[in-house]
Amino acid sequence: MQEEKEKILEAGSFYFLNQQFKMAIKIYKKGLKLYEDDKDILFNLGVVYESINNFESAKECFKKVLEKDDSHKQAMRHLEKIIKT
Amino acid sequence: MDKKKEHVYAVIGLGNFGNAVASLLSEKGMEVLAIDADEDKVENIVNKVAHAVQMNATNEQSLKEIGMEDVHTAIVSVGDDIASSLLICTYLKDTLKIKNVIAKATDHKHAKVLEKIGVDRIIFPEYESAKRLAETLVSPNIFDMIELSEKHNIAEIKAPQSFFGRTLEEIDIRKRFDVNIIAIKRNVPTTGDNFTNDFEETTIISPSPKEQIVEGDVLIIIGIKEHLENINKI
Repeated sequence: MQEEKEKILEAGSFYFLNQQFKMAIKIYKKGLKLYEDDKDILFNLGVVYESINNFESAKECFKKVLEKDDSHKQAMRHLEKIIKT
Repeated sequence: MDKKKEHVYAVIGLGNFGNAVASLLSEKGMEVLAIDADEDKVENIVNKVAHAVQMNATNEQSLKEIGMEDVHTAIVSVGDDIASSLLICTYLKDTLKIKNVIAKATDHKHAKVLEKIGVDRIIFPEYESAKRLAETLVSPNIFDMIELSEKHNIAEIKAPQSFFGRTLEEIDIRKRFDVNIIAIKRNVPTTGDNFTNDFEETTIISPSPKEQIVEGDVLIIIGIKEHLENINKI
């Protein structure tokens, strides 16, 4: 994994774990500017959105992940759950 | 009262609604007798319930022969066929003396006749789910609203932004809105290998006054409907 991308994922997860969701979103969005449509960053961003009940944005992220990798099981599971809600 | 009988259910009519009720009751460990005239519908449920029978339930004699006397609760869900629904409910109440008969009504006229027959509970699944959907569309912060009585409801409400970072004591919801928070649903963030995010869904029952609200919390609140809707206006 590229060093810069790892730093983005680490920082995003740090803020997410500390329930600083806005900061986590900001980090991941910044990351997507550097690594356009990166599935790891998109997935993590989707989970943050879902955890704060922003289902529309979460859905968009998981759909994009599945466009990149249609066998991404975790993205499938999260997307299915949102659709059934 | 015979305890065994309370766990015995009959579901007559295995369309989408009947199939779902029968399967869910069976999953919860109940003994379910599923009945429909359509062979395919019976075939679809045969592995999910204790007994599945293909028969015309408007035949009084057939109903007697399949052991309906052991049934404590019967759910009649025969779609749009009002005449069949009324006939079956009459047999269940008058002849077979089923203690608890629940019937699906297609409209209010149907419901009125079911009531006269003595049906114990009448439901309008389409209307009820449409009403809930309409409520959640009009008030997107209300995830769900369950009627507890004519006046009182239980609502699942997305915690408003002004509550974030404050304790229940500080928010003083009971005084301000005359409602009570009975539980909080919270997604607790977790992270796995390679910093992959996930969360655990937790429910805090009877939260303490010191509990702090965080973004993403869903509040389970009990109170009068109008009071519950006031929180949504914040």
